Amino acid sequence: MNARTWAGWGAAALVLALLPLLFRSGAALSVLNQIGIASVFALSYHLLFGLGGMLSFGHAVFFGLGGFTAAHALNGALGVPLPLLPLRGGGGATLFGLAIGGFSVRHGSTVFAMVSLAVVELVSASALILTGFFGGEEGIATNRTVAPVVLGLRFVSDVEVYALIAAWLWLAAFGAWLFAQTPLGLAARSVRDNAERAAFLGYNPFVVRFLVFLCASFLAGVAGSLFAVNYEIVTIENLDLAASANVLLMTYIGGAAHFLGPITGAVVFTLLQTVLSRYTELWQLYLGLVFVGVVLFLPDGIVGLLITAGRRMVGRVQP
Amino acid sequence: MAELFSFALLQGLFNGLMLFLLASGLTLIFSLLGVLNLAHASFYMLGAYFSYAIGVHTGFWGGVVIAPLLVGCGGALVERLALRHLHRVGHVAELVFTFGLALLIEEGVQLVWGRAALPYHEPEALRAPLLILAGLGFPTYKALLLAAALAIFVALALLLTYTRLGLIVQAALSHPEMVAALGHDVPTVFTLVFGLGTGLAGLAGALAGPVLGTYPGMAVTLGATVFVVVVIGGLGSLTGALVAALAVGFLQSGAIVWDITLADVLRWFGWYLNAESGSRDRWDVALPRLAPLLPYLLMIVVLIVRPSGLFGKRAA
Repeated sequence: MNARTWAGWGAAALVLALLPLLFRSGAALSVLNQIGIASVFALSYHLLFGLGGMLSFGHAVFFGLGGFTAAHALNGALGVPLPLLPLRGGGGATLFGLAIGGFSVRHGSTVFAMVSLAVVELVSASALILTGFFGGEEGIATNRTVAPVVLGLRFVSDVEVYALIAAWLWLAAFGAWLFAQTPLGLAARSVRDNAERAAFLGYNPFVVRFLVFLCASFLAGVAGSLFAVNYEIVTIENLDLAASANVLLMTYIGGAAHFLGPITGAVVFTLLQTVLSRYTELWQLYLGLVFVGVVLFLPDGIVGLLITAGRRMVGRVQP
Repeated sequence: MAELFSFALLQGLFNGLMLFLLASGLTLIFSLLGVLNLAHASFYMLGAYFSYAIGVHTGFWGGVVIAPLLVGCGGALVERLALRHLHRVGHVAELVFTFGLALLIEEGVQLVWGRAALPYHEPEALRAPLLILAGLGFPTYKALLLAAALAIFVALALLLTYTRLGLIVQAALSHPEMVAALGHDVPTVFTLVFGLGTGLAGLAGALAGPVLGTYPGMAVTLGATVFVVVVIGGLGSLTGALVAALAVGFLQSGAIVWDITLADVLRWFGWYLNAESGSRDRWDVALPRLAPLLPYLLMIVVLIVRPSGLFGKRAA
């Protein structure tokens, strides 16, 4: 890592720290928190889809399971300090990923997508039956103030929760960026582009996909835990098909292939959602139109468009 | 018990054939275009809604005839205007596009017809039970649907094996370039098959809408099961789709009549649960309530044992 990348990550941390000074009102802060959670979730989808090439229609299952694990950990007798709670939720999601990934990642594209669709239907149907863990229709409510206080960090107000979410967002983004540079990240890219060739080079596509799948599950669980901390409730709606569709939409709109795409998508998606839903009941229709338009005309999403436009303005020929 | 069993068998046959109406078109499109049409069940939903809207003016049968034609034309347009261009970008883009299309159709349907279920009913004359088994009536309309579905399969099989068009389609399945080199218009064949497949889905919707319900969630409800059927049968295999559709149909109807709970199953293995064991999980939930889960479990088992599906030649 050179000085420029360090400066970039430092600047990102600075922006995250300064944002609450710009947006002081409660409504703006709650939107910021929503964007932060969505960004972490979209980053995990980027690992799975952008890096690993696994198109999932059921990624919210891991978000939801992480959220439920975190909520139960908060409610449990054994207290977990809030800053570490996402580790617990991520761990729960990863355990489930071990069980699901074992059979679903054998194939890259279409079959994986189909299995993910079946898994999300299976989990949301069983969630109504296993009421002990999922709390049935009303979900699992929790209270973030009961967590043991460590280093005097209390998380009562929205700003404090923002700090927690922002810190984890930075960590998640940095982690995802580092992950893409590791040998595993590079292997994942080669398996995504041509699994057969990667296999001939000695990489087992199953193992590579499985590991990427586990990392993505972990990060989704982290996002779910942050959701549980922020809203103090997790319901079945957090792990159903609609929630899974949303993360696919935001990642694709932002640009799945580029590292900055998922975060851009999460910002655009959340803003569209919160602003549009204030003016019209048809916001989902407009969101769907934007999505289909992006798929048809901007295969690399908003970030891809910006990069091409930037190159054109500078007049540099694309290598 | 025997009567109840045969009723479940009849019901299973009905479920299976309805699933196959959708799965056949889906699997045909997959083997030809290489893309799994996630909006396939949405065309089924459009069939039901269009048929209702047209039937208000023309009577029930008018809707049933016109709606599938409209849906098929719509499907052909989607292939011509969008999917064909996405083909160059890659399969993932096509898959994502059909997913977005499914979302759009669901929202559009709610925009036009509202969120509530439609009062879409079969003609009064066909509602009387044709035969009564174990005190449960099997309506004439369902029997008619069974006959119609069977007739469609026979027609489809004949079309694919004996007509010139069917032969070209079959050839284009395996060697599209060679067929094109022989002077046939392969892209038009693609559009035709897409239109045919979606039209079949529309027909299934127009026919089954009165029985299975016409509401905005109908596409998702049936669609997930249809994809399960196609994956179990093996992507691209018509025989596999038929076998898997019937298996899933029987599984669902069998589970509904066999009233057994998970606690009963555990008791067979000598594992007794007492009610105060502290867990709030519903181990006493009966098999009929688990029926929607069974197709997914079957699919997972099949994928573990035979990843390419029952009749699939190789994994996609």
